[in-house]
Amino acid sequence: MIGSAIHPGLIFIVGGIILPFLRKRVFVQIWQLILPVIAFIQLFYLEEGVYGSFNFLGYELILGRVDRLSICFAYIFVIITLIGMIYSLHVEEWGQHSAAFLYAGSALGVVFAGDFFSLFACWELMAVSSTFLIMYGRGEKSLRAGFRYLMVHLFGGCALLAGIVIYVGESGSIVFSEMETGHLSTMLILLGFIVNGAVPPFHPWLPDAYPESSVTGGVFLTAFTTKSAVYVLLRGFPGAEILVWLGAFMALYGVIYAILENDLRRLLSYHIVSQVGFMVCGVGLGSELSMNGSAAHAISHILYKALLFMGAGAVIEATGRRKISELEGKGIYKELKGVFYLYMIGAFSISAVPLFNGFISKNMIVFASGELHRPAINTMLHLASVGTFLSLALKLPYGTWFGKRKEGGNRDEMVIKSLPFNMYLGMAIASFLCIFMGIYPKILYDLLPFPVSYRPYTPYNVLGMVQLLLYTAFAYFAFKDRLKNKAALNIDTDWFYRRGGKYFFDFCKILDGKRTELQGRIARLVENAVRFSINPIQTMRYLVGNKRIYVVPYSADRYRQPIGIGVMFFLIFICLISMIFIKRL
Amino acid sequence: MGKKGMFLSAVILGILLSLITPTEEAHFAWERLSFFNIAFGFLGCIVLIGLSKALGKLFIQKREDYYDR
Amino acid sequence: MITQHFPALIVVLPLMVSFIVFVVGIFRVRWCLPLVLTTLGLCVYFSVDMLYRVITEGSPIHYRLGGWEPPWGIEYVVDYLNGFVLVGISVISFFAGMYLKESIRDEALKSKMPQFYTLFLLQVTGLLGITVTGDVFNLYVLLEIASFSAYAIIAMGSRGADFAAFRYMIFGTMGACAYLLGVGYLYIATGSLNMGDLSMLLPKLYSSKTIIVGFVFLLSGIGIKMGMFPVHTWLPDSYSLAPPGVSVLLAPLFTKVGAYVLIRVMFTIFHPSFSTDIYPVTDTLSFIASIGVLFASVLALAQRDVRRMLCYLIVAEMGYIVFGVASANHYGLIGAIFHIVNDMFMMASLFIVAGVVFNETGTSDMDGFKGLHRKMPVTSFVLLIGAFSIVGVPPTCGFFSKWYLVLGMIEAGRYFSLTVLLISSLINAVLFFRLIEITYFEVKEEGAYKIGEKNTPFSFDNLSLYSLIPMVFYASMVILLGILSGTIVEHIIIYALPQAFKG
Repeated sequence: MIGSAIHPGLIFIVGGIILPFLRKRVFVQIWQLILPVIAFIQLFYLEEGVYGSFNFLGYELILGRVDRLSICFAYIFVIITLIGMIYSLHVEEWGQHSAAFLYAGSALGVVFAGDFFSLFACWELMAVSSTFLIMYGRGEKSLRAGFRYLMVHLFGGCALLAGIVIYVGESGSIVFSEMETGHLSTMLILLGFIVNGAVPPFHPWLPDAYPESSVTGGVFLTAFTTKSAVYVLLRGFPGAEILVWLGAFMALYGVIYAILENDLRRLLSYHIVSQVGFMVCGVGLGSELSMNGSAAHAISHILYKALLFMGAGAVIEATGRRKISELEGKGIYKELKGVFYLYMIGAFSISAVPLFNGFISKNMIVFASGELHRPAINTMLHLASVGTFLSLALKLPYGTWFGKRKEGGNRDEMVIKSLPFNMYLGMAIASFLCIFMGIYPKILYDLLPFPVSYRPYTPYNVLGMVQLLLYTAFAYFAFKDRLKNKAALNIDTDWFYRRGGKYFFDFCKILDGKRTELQGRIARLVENAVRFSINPIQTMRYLVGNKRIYVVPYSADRYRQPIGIGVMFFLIFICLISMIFIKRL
Repeated sequence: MGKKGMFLSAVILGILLSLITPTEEAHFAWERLSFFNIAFGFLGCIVLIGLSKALGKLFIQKREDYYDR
Repeated sequence: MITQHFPALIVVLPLMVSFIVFVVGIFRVRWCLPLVLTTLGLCVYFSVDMLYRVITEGSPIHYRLGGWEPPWGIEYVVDYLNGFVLVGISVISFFAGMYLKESIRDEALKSKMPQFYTLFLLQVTGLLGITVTGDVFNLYVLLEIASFSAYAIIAMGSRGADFAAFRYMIFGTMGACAYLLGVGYLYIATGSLNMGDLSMLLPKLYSSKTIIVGFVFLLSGIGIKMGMFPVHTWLPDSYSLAPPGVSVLLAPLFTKVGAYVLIRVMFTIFHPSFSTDIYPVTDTLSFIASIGVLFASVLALAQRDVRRMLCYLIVAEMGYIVFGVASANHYGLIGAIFHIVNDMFMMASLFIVAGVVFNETGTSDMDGFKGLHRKMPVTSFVLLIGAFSIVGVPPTCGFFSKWYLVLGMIEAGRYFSLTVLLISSLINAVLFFRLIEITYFEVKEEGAYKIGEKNTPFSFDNLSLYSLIPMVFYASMVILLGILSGTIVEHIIIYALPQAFKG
């Protein structure tokens, strides 16, 4: 153990547990703000090394592996917690804040975990605490969506656990470090990571659940699950070829769905899939530049995505509407100017407009794909950038804040609430950081795991970007009427388990009916055998009758069998066990 | 501005930009074209809009209550 | 010294007090509860002291009743295995005793509290005795004591309980008779009733038909008592219709004691190789248990009544223990033994939650849990912990015992059972999150994003201390057992394994 320090994640987790016991609102609010600050200070003084290792059943658990990679993720996690807490200061429900702290704390736990057991424990804690954040949306769909979210994450957790167990069994070591793909154990672990990282086809939980969360909870959700997945991929599978293709595919996939999407936060959620695709691709490409790019982009993304969600959340909070089709033409620009401008800063960041932080990070990855001579990947990523700008900075804001006045569309029935100051403050801080990093990239580059020689502000890069974005905008304005904002549902790969789940339940009910049927049949068989011997002729006539079993809700009284059946099963059981010894008896 | 004005300014701006954009650092052959990104942005946008609409019409977009039936 | 007699005292004391309580109840009803609690508290002390002595001396305690030498006399043996289980039983009974009085709401029954306590103590006597005895016939006697008091005390429950108790009686008697038959066969062939003695005499006779038939009957009898599929059918009715305080005692303990007896029979009396190499007992058991676990999990899904659902879960948990036993290796058995005690506490906490809710809302149905979070936050939290433990979320104890079970099953190559275990865990997750969703979240109108709501001041559930303390204690033990699992396994359970599985 080097020196002594407190695990930042522990600060959050303990803080989250203590929170419900604070009586006054004011104390809760102070607590909300103090915890991230304390964690940040702790991080600042944290030196690289291994902390918190102890022996557990003969294995070495490492709770605090601190190196450049984990520290850079930890910093942004703590910062976004602070921003999120500022944004949600007005929320009175203490449960949301507790859940958020537990979520953030376990994410920090994942980032610092040096061995598989700690990783898994924190992974599961993340899944459970984030489910609560989703359910706090308290919408009609929130419970169901949260339930599906939990199921998917538990499935991913099972895969992860299975992979870990097999890996530990084979190698005997529980240290979490680089792995090779191709073994059953590592593929299962990869599967677990991928589910959390929202890689298609395991991604639908994201656009399904994030829009249903509470307005303030959504900010936290965007930051932790997917980015910790990027971190573990960086740590465990750098340079894995499959990730390159998955990432590039993801980047485009997300963008295409986003262009079609109508619900504000769902659209943004598909963009998370897209941007994480960039990061996953960067991990797969494996060069120092691309991996730096993934880490840098993760940091930028957390900031601007939170900003975008905060902006969309503000619109939802103020108008009560969440779909572009319902906001189009209502011209809310007048009342919500501030939100609009702050949102646009986020939109420009994600589109990698020069002077914003997306520009200095996303392009590292695209540039790396060029350096490594991967033309297909390069093109896909470029196209995804076009799509990002198109849907996020053009279609969404235009549709939401402006839009053509529809016939008879009057604004009277829509009331626009005024927003609390802290929401604006949170957005402003995030915007500031986006612009600051964009103008002064060195502050981001110093955090990155590998040394940076990439220079973002070359004429080639800047002008190339300007060309790309400007003409995308021209094309949009020329064709924007083709893109109607319809209220429609886009189905995704979750169709398989959403439709499939229903079938499974029906199947269970049928099984239960069958069981009763079987039991009845056996009983009747015995009965008939007895009867046959008494009066053979009458029995013959009896055997012709047939019965139907139909599926009804289970009720214990309906299926209770006479005690004799139980006795019969006991005798069958004795026979079964005797069969074991059949060769001797 | 009107449609015509927009079109004109797009073309003029395009010519200006292609003139001042350097291409020495390009990685791939097609990037050497000075107006590459202009074309890519414009065409890419159209392609994406078209592609998503096509996919949407084909099978992605459904009624809102699809899962509740 | 008196401490020498603890093995016997732990059985004799509750036995005698059960009668004393009845008499005392005739005069002063108010002295009954303190008397019962003192007795149970003394039992806790006895069991802890005995376990401590076993650990520090490193060898089992042998106690001869009446000073008679075995194999003629009855011997009580306390080693690592039953010392550990004994502590679990006594602790749970102590707190169940605390809860018992609170749980009886029916006025007619309230006047019969002394009788209740008598039966309760007889029950505890039986359970403790089964665990501590080293004589197979003595085990039968105590088994019957426990069973008969169970039948009687269950019959005092709600509508349908008497019939359920009757069913249980039929099944239980069948099981006990089968067990007795088994003991009889062993006795005929060896002339001994002492467990240690039998383990030395039997190996020569492993191919004898008498012994085989004896084993078959023993296993069948134990199967009924521990609720193995397919002879578990008495379980759901009895434990769900019994009075709430009673199911808190019975549900965690009775079946686990059955599992303990199974381990004793298969690994102490009979050498492990009998069941693994010589005859394929473990393979068959593993297969039966797999079907049982699947069956029970699926049926648990179908239940609306929470207590019935928990009963099916007991069957599933017993299936897990059989998985561990059937793996018959180092990790599998560690998992099984650890799971015995873990499951005791998990089920105790869940059943007490169900009992409390049943008393507060008058129904056992899941709807009774709606929005419980607001009115009874502590109860909901205990439910949460119990649920996490059953699903297997660290750091609750359920995760650790499942971990060992999984390791054991992988080592034994039982992949089918492993898949069944994982599937059943997933089903358990569905089960409990359905319940938790009902408890913690009420559904609001469409699309309304509320900023936040005033939450009710933090109250203690309107429950008296007699209900609260057991609930909180059980939940804390669930977590504590999880956190301390490493220590417990290293210092106690490893030594409880039969010689063949060490290392």
